[in-house]
Amino acid sequence: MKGKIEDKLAKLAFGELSPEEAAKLEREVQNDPEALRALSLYKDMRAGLKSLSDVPEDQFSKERLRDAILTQGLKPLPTRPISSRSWLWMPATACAMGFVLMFTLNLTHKKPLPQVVMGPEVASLGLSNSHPIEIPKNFSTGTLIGPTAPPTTVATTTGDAKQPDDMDEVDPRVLTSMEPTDAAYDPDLGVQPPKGNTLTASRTSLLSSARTASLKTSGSIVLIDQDKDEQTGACKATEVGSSSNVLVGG
Amino acid sequence: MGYDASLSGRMEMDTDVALVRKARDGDFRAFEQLFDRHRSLVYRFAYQMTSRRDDAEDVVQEAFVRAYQNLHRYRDEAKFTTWLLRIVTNLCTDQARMSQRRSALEQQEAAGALDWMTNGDIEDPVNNLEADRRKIALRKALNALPMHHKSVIILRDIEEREYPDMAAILGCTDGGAKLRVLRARRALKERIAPLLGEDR
Repeated sequence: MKGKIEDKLAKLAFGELSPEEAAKLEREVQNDPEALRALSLYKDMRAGLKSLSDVPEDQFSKERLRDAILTQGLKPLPTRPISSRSWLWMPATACAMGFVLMFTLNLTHKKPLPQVVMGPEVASLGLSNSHPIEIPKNFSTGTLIGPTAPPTTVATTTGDAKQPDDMDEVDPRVLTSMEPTDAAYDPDLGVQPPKGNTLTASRTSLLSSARTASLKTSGSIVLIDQDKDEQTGACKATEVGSSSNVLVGG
Repeated sequence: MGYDASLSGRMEMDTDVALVRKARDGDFRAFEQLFDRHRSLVYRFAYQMTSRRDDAEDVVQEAFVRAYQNLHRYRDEAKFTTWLLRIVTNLCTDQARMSQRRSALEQQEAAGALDWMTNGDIEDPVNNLEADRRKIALRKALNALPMHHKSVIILRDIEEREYPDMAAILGCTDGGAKLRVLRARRALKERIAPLLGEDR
């Protein structure tokens, strides 16, 4: 059955059609058993709903209402003070959030500072007895090689070791820097790769040594960036000038 | 006749409005008069919506308390009863949400007991039994309807309110109210047909 006919049947059953419309619809559906069944159901429904209109007596009293209003109704209504500046919270919160967001983004996208390392022609580490590099006890004796630095003595701090008075005196536990060869030179680290039983200090230990000790360098300063070069894949490096008057790590 | 009815309605509305104004000014007796005048209407509607007397009384109490608290929000252009029934509709919807946790058994028992207490024809027990069965089936189907269908069926087909009144209570146009009633009736028919279909 179409919805439109059904709606009309419902209106007919609930007495919402004019007498003319009702008579016309009754004529139309008199040969339609489905429509007649629906009409009958709607009429039953109407009668049943009318019978539901009986309700039991309420046991309500003014006293009960008064009590309820006294306990609940006379509570002061939540009113906003006229001078309320609550609207300020919204822009203030937005500003604060924006600031935090900017700060966070800044931290995330902050470009790492370029590292200062010694270039290939760094003259010497210029270590003296007054600025010994501390090397752990389990660090075996070897040769620390600087690119162009003259032999440099690094004093270890093992318990029984005496610090040499003379720089020319070579102790077995002393690390010595030697002249590098061009073929073995690692441009990225600026140090020689291992050769024989010599020990090459890693870049990290070299840098940390450079930080802990006040070193006077006489070569150029090379800034090595974290960004890789597209062609070579190595870190980009920029020579920024002479380091003869620069105190590294000072 | 129509003029008289509208004039009488207008006077009643004016009186309600006057009482509301007095109540706003702190005259609690004026509010008590409003309560006396309309509590029956509110209770009937609340009872139809909740099917339980104690729930209906709670709703009536809460509705009048809210009305009292919000008298400053009442606009004189609407009838006070319309405004009141709107509050009741909202309360009943809230209550229906909360009472969904109740077991179906408890509801059936309550409805059955209430029917047995309030309705019944001792002289014709067979007819009474059949009438009760149909009534219970219809109540069950009505209670199973969604709240928006149930409220329009109660307003229109049980409480017999006019469409403009319904529109004001439901917050829609007259045409919208008519459409809602048609849809609700169709939904109720779909539910009641299987329940009453056994004796057909």
